[in-house]
Amino acid sequence: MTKVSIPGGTIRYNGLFDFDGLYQATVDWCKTHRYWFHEETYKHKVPSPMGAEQELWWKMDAKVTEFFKFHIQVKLHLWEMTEVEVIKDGKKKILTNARLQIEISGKVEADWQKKFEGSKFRSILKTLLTDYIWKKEFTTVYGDMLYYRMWNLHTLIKKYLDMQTAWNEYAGYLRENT
Amino acid sequence: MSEKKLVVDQTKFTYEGLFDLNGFYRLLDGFFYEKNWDRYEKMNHEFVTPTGKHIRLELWPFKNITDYYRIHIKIRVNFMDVIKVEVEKDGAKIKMDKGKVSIIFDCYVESDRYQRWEKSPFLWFLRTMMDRHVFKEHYLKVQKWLLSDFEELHTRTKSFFNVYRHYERGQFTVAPG
Repeated sequence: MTKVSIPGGTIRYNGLFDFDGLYQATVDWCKTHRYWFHEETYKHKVPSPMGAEQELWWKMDAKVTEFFKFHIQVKLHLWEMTEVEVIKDGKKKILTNARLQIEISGKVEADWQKKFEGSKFRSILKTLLTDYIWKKEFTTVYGDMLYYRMWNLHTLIKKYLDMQTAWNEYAGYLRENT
Repeated sequence: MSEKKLVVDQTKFTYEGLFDLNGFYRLLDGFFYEKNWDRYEKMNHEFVTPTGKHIRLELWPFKNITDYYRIHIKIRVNFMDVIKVEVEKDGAKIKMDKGKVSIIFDCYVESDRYQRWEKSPFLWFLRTMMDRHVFKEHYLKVQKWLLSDFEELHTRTKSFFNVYRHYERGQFTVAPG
């Protein structure tokens, strides 16, 4: 066992939102929780009369220990994307009107430094660590930590989209602020 | 695939009128937190239409009872034509939601959650025999646990919306404009 996949949720939203703000909020969340942020994919299709289509894959990773590493992947897909100028509190602001789908998933990776690769003996040692000695840490301790952290990110995105169900009762589960 | 047995099949609840949407979501999340369940929000779909907001939720909270059993409640919630209204109660204005709600509950007991007993046809057969004849009491205990939690959730849901039904009959008045 080298990876434990953590299931995430899907958010679909149709309406007006601040895309730049959402981007910024996600990056800020990464900084707060000490995750590296990478934009793995950026696809932009030639706009049709209905609007543009964009596909973005954000990858976030954090080294938890010398052996375990967290990965979070956020896949965004936007359709019929148009920019709308609105006046809020007397100031002009550009918002995005689109159909948006966000998929969040994660995984806990073991032996990210690849120290246990190269020989069969090392591979057996790694299996011993992940399947027996550190099994609880791998699946429960770090698995749960990433799982609930992902729900915190999920709630942050919902809050940013001003969705009605932006609430997470489990927010304090990890005793973190966000 | 571990085996999932359907315990409650599509228990429905519908409501139309005034309610607090965020309050209901908090009720669901709070209930599962209180009962030590794990949250899993598979889908959250919100879109704005000229008649109001449509929100579709698919929640799959679960609880690992033992190394072998896991219980799930699948909740599908549909909020239709939700609009914000301002209501007056005792002279004070409160913001609430108005629209239609449809909720469907399904409950499952999942056995062999680590899929350890399906690596060969013999193990599969052994699992089935053990489940049906030797460990039936264990299964019934888990099922009882699931039903007890589900009944409480269902009662809380009904009372949550009934409160607003009661309000609509007299205590609240929709503010003009």
